[in-house]
This record gives sequence, structure tokens and C-alpha cells, in this order.
Amino acid sequence: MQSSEATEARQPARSGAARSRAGRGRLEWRTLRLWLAFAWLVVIIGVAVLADVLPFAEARNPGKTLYEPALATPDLASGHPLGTDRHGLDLLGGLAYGARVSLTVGIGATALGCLIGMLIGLTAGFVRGRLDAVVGLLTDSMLAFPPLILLIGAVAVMRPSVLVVTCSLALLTVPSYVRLARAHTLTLVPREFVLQARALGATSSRIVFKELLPNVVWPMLSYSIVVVAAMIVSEASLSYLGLSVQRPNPTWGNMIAAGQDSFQQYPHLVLVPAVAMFLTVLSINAVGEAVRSRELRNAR
Amino acid sequence: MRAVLKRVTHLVLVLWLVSLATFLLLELVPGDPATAVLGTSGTPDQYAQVRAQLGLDLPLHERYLSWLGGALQGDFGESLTPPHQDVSAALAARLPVTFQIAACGLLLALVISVPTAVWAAHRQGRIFDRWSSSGVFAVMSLPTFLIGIFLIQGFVFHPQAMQTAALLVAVGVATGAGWTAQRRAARGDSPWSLVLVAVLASVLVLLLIVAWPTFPRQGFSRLGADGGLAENLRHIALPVLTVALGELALFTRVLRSEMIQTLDTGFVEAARARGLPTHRILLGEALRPASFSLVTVAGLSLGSLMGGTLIVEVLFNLPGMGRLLVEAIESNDYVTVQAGVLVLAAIYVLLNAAVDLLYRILDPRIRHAEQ
Amino acid sequence: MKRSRTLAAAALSTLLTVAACGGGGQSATPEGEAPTGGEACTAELAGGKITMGVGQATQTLDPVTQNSGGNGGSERAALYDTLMTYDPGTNTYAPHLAESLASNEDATEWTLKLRAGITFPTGNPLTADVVRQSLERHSADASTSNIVNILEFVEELEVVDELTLKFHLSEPYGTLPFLLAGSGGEITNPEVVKQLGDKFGQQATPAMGLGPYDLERFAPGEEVVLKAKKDYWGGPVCIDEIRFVYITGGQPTYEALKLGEVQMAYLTDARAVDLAKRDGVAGYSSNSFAGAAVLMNNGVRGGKPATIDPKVREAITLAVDPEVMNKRRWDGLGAASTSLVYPPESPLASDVSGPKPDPERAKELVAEAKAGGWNGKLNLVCPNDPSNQEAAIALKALLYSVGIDVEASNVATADLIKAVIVDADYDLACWGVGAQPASPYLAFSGFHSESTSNYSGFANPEMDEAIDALQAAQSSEQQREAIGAIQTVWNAAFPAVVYGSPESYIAVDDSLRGTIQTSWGTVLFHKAFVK
Repeated sequence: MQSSEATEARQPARSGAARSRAGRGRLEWRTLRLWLAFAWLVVIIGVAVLADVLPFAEARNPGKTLYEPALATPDLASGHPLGTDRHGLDLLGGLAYGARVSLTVGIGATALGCLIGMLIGLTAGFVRGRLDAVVGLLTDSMLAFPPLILLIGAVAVMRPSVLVVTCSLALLTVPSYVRLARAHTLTLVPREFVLQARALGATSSRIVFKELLPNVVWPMLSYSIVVVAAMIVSEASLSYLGLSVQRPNPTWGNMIAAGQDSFQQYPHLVLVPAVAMFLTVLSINAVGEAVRSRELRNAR
Repeated sequence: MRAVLKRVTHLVLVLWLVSLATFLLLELVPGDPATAVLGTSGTPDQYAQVRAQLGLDLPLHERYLSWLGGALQGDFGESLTPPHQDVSAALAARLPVTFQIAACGLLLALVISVPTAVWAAHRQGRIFDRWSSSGVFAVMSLPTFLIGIFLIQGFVFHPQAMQTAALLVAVGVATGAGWTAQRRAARGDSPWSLVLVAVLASVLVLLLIVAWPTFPRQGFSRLGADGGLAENLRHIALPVLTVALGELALFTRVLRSEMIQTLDTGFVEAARARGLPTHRILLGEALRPASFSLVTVAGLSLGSLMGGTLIVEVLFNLPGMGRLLVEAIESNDYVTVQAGVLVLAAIYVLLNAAVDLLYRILDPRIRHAEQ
Repeated sequence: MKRSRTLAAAALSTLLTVAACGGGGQSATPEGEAPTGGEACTAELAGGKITMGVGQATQTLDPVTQNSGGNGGSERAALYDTLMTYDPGTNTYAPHLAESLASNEDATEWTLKLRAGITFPTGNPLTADVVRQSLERHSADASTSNIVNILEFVEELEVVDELTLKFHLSEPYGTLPFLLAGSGGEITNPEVVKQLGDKFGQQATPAMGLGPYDLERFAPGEEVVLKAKKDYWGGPVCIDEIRFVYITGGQPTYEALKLGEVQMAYLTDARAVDLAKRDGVAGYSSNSFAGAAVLMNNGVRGGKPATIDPKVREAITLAVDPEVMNKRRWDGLGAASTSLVYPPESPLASDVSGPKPDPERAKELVAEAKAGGWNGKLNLVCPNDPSNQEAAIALKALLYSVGIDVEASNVATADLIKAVIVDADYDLACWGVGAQPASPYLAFSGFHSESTSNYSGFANPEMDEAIDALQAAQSSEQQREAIGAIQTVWNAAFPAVVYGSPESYIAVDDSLRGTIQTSWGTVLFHKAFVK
């Protein structure tokens, strides 16, 4: 997954001639789409941050919902606008707390992976030699290791929690960040400003942090937007397999897993978290796409 | 020659690191294969006895070295938990299932995404491009397990609805293509490619009416089993479609953008100027140079899919590698996990190397750059 | 990944064939079994293939193993046949490979006579000595058989003559026939056992036993394929091939039956059972008594968990409302009750019912225990199948509502066994009792202070006495009385929390005829045919 994304990130997007061929109406739709994506992201982030303050019905402690209706169908007029699950837990509240987990893991894992990967990649690309070879060997080994086995193992060693899942997913993103950062560094090292700094007697660490880092950060960040979306999907998949945060603490993935067997009778158990996740990932992808095409335009 | 040697050393080192990492990881995982051997009926003494029998009381490095020694001679040993069978045999039974799902899924993804991407690039910014890009974007935002759940709901539980939908789409395509073909003919262009599309769609409609298979909710039928190919295809249809939908977004996007770039280059312009028909330009001239990245991406996808079809295996209850390894981890059968991870890693690195090689052979740019 | 049902229930099920033989000196008459609906295979009906959907992938086909109907029971019965068969309809046993089985007055000596002229496909005959060897594999040192507990009573297996075997027991045991209708009665071919050793039952080998089928393919986690024998001792075998496929989830299993993918489905999920019954699908029903239960650690092997305190145990028992558990675990469709035997129509259901839930009293007890220095925290370990995940959440919720803070974890089967049996490191565990009418003794013996399968450390002299009475009980009446006594002690001493007796249902497609239900969850195919 990571490697293919990295490959895609290296792909040049459409050329200028192609862009001018796009119609005017298309541009407006693109803008509208982008704004809608932003709006959804603002809502979902807001809800995730404010979940404790907002007046949701109980969504996490089934001990408090013994007398709530179980498996209530969505009804906007009731106290449970999106319905309840088997244990009487509110699905709207579940969405909010699930968003918190998804976003924490998605952003946390990406940030951590990006930071570690970038530093290693920068150093390896700058120092070269034996260190570079060792780093190359390690990243290749990490990429060859089946990611699910690593995740299952990590979760089995330490009990599944947001922190464990974030760290293990971060570990999985490290190799592609290392490669990306190293590749960028290699193109920068022979450039004039680096040579100049070297000629002026700057120390290696100064060159890495003052000269190279600022130039490597931006491409990393734009790639990171897509990675956040991928991490949210990965977290949901882990939750779905029962390898992330455990019920009754809601995540989008574990809500879907718990509801899938009764899809026929109670489709809302699956559809509510599924739609939320789909819209979130779609929005992040849309923003990522916009950022990338803007970047390409600037580059030209 | 030295480059090849270097490459091989690198591969061997990677595999060794992977095996070491697997071993250490499993050492950390709490649990005890003896419980899987004895089940609920053992006494604490019996558990200790079984642990000794399985060699679990030996020191860490001794166990690893003895495993490594066996593995180097091609002997992966016997699984620690019942059924006690040769790990090689267990892997040989599971690997083809995963490979079939992964390879067929990839193939289907390519079959869908290549024409879509080529046509979208050709009609860039027009309605087909917009719709297909949006569709691809949407599919990209759906996790595999949701795609699977929805496919099961549709194809297994509401087959009539899916049949009707497929019918409508096919009829729509057939009429649309027929209508455009007529307009083209009126303008004096060749309508034959579109007539072909219309005929194919009509045949598909007929096929759908005559034979719509019932898809099983889960399970697998091997090629060698009594049902033969037909049963096998019926069982793998939905898993393969799930895998294909998961992969095709990336393929389409990669090929489309490469294709657009290629269509802008000089030699395609030259072909246009020579008055070559569209399909010759697209397929004969532009597709080959545009498809190098796709080859890379597809090769890497196959590598990661071999170890990454777990969700599909769980959803459709397929006897593949993913489930074998997960169950082995659950019962702490490190012998099986070790061998499985090593095989998957080997497939991954070999595919990677093969893709690299292919890329070098195919792409004149790299060849020239190196000369 | 998803291993279903409570472990003990799965483990004990096949052994516990139903016994309701007459009074002392009982004997079973060699009249043969009654095929369902009076239909049976004849040479003209031969042909066809069927598939059965089972919920657990069996890991071995050796009878010396964990055994239950949904976990290889029917496969093994088809491979080996059994000495006796059980008819749940009439609550009687019939000899099958045996000619007869009779006991002395106090059930301490049983005489088994075998049918003459039965030979293994390898040519060696079925003799008393072969039966002895087969049973001794169960009681061998490294054996993982769960009839070990019963074989401990067997002082001597005396080979009287070629076809007669005498069981000399050290203690009275009233329901020995059930042993011989389950895995104990599945006679293994000594020649193949000698040839394969440890690998017996783990690879497809011909002539493993005396049953109507041979093992064609054994792919663990995927399928078991059986092929009909040409020269079965009991006459022609109609169905050429039986496939047992492993399906995850109760509802998918039933859906496979409706879609025609399988002709027989082993259902344990309350919702699937309900669907099958409402759709009018024929099938065999049985309840696993007290199969939904929570084991409370009573200080096994010197541990000092909070659940040693009788107040805490009582509070937990009174807090677990079976109706709430039913709603949340089984969508209100399960067989929920705190009684050891449910439904009340069962011949073993005594007048004494289980403890009544009383959350108010439970709160008081918790408050008292906390005043005594308890921090109000407990851990709960449950299997990780979907149904037990719901159960764990519901239990946590119910206990939270009376002031107990439960940390629940759902783990793989192996880890549950490790926590409960190997390490004895748990407070509460989802661990079904899972008794069957035939020999409820075996399941309840886990609460006897001297039992090797006592994993909770519960020890109570009155309970021991009641369990001893159950062990000696022969008739349904005697067993019912003994279970009533156990329930009385249970209601005062709270060894474990019972909240239901899950029903399992073997749904059978209309096209499949002549199958015979024997002990729980096991179906015999030697008279079956496809219509």
C-alpha cells in the first residue's frame, strides 16, 4: 500500500495543455467540491474535538444504557437521531468518538512516520556511504515484511489502544517516507546553495537542518495528506478485524464489524459509520488532490 | 555481473532480517502453543510436558538456529499445533488460493482500468473523463472491507436488483453506442468500433438474462475439485471483484496521467499529423510508452496483495495465506508463521526485482540514461 | 479467526450423549436404530453428494481429541461408527457396532458384547481386544481426550472372550452407554494407528475405522471430504461423497443452506436458529444446559482473587439479568435462564430454579464488600467470536450498573485456555458449563472439589455430595433429583453465573433423507440418501 502510494506520488499530474482544455463549468464544480470537502472536514474535526461537550446521548458506556432502546432505527425527531446499537449506545455519539479515534490515528501516525522517515531519509541521502546502505537494507526489509503480520503481532504484544495502533501504523509508513526524503535529498545535494553552504564551512548538521530540511518538508507534507486518508482506512480495517480500539469504545471500523451480520434487519448499524468514513476519506483525498495540482502549477 | 551479485546478496540479507524480525516478534507475543495442542482437557503438568516436547523450553538462539538450519535445507518443519502437518504442505495448500485471488483481482483491475484510463485520457475534460474520474475517486475512498460487504449484500442477497441494474447498464451502453455509431456513419466516419461495442453489450445483456450465476456467500472450490473451473470461478467471482475494485483506482489514475503526458509528446503529434486513426494512435503509439509506471505499480500491488488479502479471506472465508498466518499467530505456532512470512517476503522481493528488471528492459529512457 | 461458542460446551458436547436407560441392570436391545421418518437407504437410492456446513473447523479426526458435533463429531462418526447409538426422541440407546451393553445393579460393572463378523477394510476383525486398545488410547498419559475423567473410574478393561469386554469401575457410573455412543465408542483401526502413530487422524488415510466412509481429503480450516465405502458392514451406503465445509458465522451458515450451497447446516447462533425455525426448515434441536455461563475464580491453586468473597460472587450472580443478556447477545431470541437446565420441558429440569436477578441487593452486597476493603475492580476474559464480544460488553454493563468496574478482554481460544487452565490468572471468564441430558455429570463434575477439570477452585462438601449422586444416577428421575440438589447448593454458594442454555439446531434440507441424530450435534449418515 505505502509503496504504491509513493509511486503514485511520483507521478506527474496532467500537463498544462491538458488543463486549459478543461471547461469552465468543471472548474466551478471543482471549487464547490473542494469547499464541500473542507466543510465536512471542519464538521468532523469539530465534532471529534468537542465530543465530550456536545449533548450526545451515551455512546461509550453500555452500563448507563441498560434502559435505553436497543437497536433503535434512525429517527431525527428522537433522542437518537441516527439510532442505537445492540447495547442501546447512541450511533451519533459513536460517530463523534469514532471520528476522534480515526483522526488521532490518521494524523498521529502520519506525523510520526513522516518525522522519523524524513530525518532518516535526509541523513542517509546526505551522508551516503555505509549508513545509506544499511538504511536501504532496513527499509527494504520493512517493506518486504507483510504489514498485517506486523500489526497483529504488535497488537498481541501490547493490548490494542490508540497509542499502539498509531505507533505501529507510523512504523509502516516510515520506509516510504525514508525513500521519498532520500530521493529528494539526492537531487538537492549537488545544488548550488548546498555547495555554497559547504564552501562557507557550514557543519553537516547545519546543512541538513537549515538547508536541506526546509526544501524537503513541503513535498513530504503534500504527500502526507494522502497518507492521512490511507491511515484512516488502515485504522478502520484494523478495527474491523478487531485489532484496534476495542468495543464498547466506538470506532468506525468496529461499529461496522459489529453490525455487519445484521445488515439485512438493521442496515443503519453499518451504513451510519460507513457513510461518515467514506465522506471523510473522500474529503481528505479531494483536498490532497487540490494541493497537489496547485503545487504542480506553482512548480511550472 | 558484480551488480547481479550485489543484488542477490541484498535480497538474501533482506530475507534474513525478515526472518529474524518475525522470530523476535513472535517471541514477544504472549501465549503458548501447548494450549492449542491440549485444548481444555489438560492439567498444568501436561502443559509443561507438551512445552518440553515441542522444544519450547530451549533457549531463544538455539530454537532460531535450528529453525534456520532446517529452512536453509528447504525443511520448514512441522506445525506445532494440531493438525501436525508439514508446514511446507500447509503453505502449498494455501498459497495457490491467495495467488489466484490476487492475480485474478489484479488482472480484472487492469482489464477495467486500462480502457477506462486510455479513453479518459483521450477525452480529457469531457463527460466520460469527468464521470470515470469521479467514480475512481469514490472507489478510492472506500476501504476493501466495505466494498466486500456491499458486494455481498448486492450479489448474494439481492441478486435480482443487481441483475436489473446490470441489465439497465448494458442496455444503456448498447443503445448509446448504437446511436453514436449511426451519427458517425452519417458524418462519414467509420462506425465499426462502436458497432462492436453495441454488439458486445447486447450479447452481455442476453448472457445476463440466460445465465446469472448464484454467488456463494463464502467458501472456496479448488480447481482440481469436482466442480472444476466453473465452480471455482463462481466462488472466486466476488472476492476477485472486491480485490479488483480496491486496486483499480490507483491503476486508472496512474495510467491516465501518464497517457495524457504521452499524448502531448512529439511523436504522437506526428502520428496524428500522418492521419492515423484514433485507436491506432491510442493503442499502437501511446499506450506502450505510457504503461511503464503501470507495470511497476501493478507488480508492486501483486507483491503486497500476496500478503494483504486477509480481509478478503476473512470476509469470504477463503483458505488463503492470510488466515493461515493469523490462526497460527493466535495459537503461537511460530514455526508456521516463520515459514509463511519468509515465503511472502521472498515473493515480495522477487517480484520487486522482476519489476525493476522489466522496467529497465522496457523503458528506453532508463536504458539510454545508463548507456 | 472467529472460533465460536463457549469452550467447555464445545469440548464436552459429544461426550455427553443422552442417557435415560431404565433402572438398575439396564440393557439395550439389539433392535437397530430408527431412521428418520422411516426412510432408509436401499441399493436403488444410491448416488449423490451432499455438503454440510459446520461452524468450527476441526483440527484432527482422531477420536482421542476435543470433540463436539459442530467440531468434527459427524465426520468422525462417519469414519469410525460408534459402539452404541442414542435416540433423543425416545431417550434410549441402541447397540450399533455392539451386540449389547448391560450393567450390574449398582452400575459398577458393565458388559459389552460385540457384533460378530465385522472387519476393518484391512481385514483385521473387530474384537474385544481392539476395543480395549482403542479405549486405552484415550487414557494414555499424553492423551488430550476429554473422556479421561470418566476413564479414571475404569479400574480394569477385562477381555472376557473374543467378543466380550467387561468394564470394572471403581465408582458407580450410571451413564456409561453415552461414553460408547460418543468418541469412546469410535473404534480406531489398530493397524493404521500403529502405522501412523502421532499423525493418526491428521491426514487422509484409508481404513481408519469401521464407519461407512473413508477419509478422502482433510484440509484443516477448509474442508473434510469423505468417500463412501463399498463394503460397509451395515449394508449399502447411498451418498457417494460428503463434504464438510467450515463456514464462519451462524447466519452465513444458514444462508448457505437457503442458497443450496449446503444440504445440512450446524447452527448455534440464536438468530440463525430462529430464522431456520420460522422458515420451517426441518432439523434436530438440542440445548446445551448452562452453556452460557461465567466462571468465577474461587481461588484456584492458591490465588486470592476478589471473587473468593461469597458476597462478591452473590452480587455478580444477582446482577446478571438473563433477559438483558438475551437481548444484547441474542437479540432476545436465545434460551436465557439462570437455571442449570433449560427449557423447563426437558426431562432433567428440576423444580428448583436458578437464582433470581436482584440488582438492588447486588448493589448492597457490592457496597458491603467495598467497605471490607475491595476496590470494586474485576477482570473478565472471553473468547473473541462476535457473540461472545456482545456477551462481554453486556456483562460489563450489568456489573457496572451495580458498582463493579470490569475490565473485559476478548482473546483467542488458546489465550483463554491459557488464562483459565494453565495460568489460573483470571477473575471472571466466559466459560460455559454445557451439560447434556445423557451425562450431565461430566460437565458438572468441574465443580467437584477433587475433579481435575475444576478450573475455578470451587470447593463445597455439599456440592461434592450432590455431584456424587449425579455420577451414580442412572434414570432420568435420579438425574433430575441430583440436579435439583446441585441447583439448591448452587443458589446458596454461587460457583458460577449461568444465564442461558443455548440451543443448537442442525438444519436439514428437504432433499436429504434418512439421517439419524445420535448424541448432541452428531448425525449418522449410513442410512442417508438424496431424494
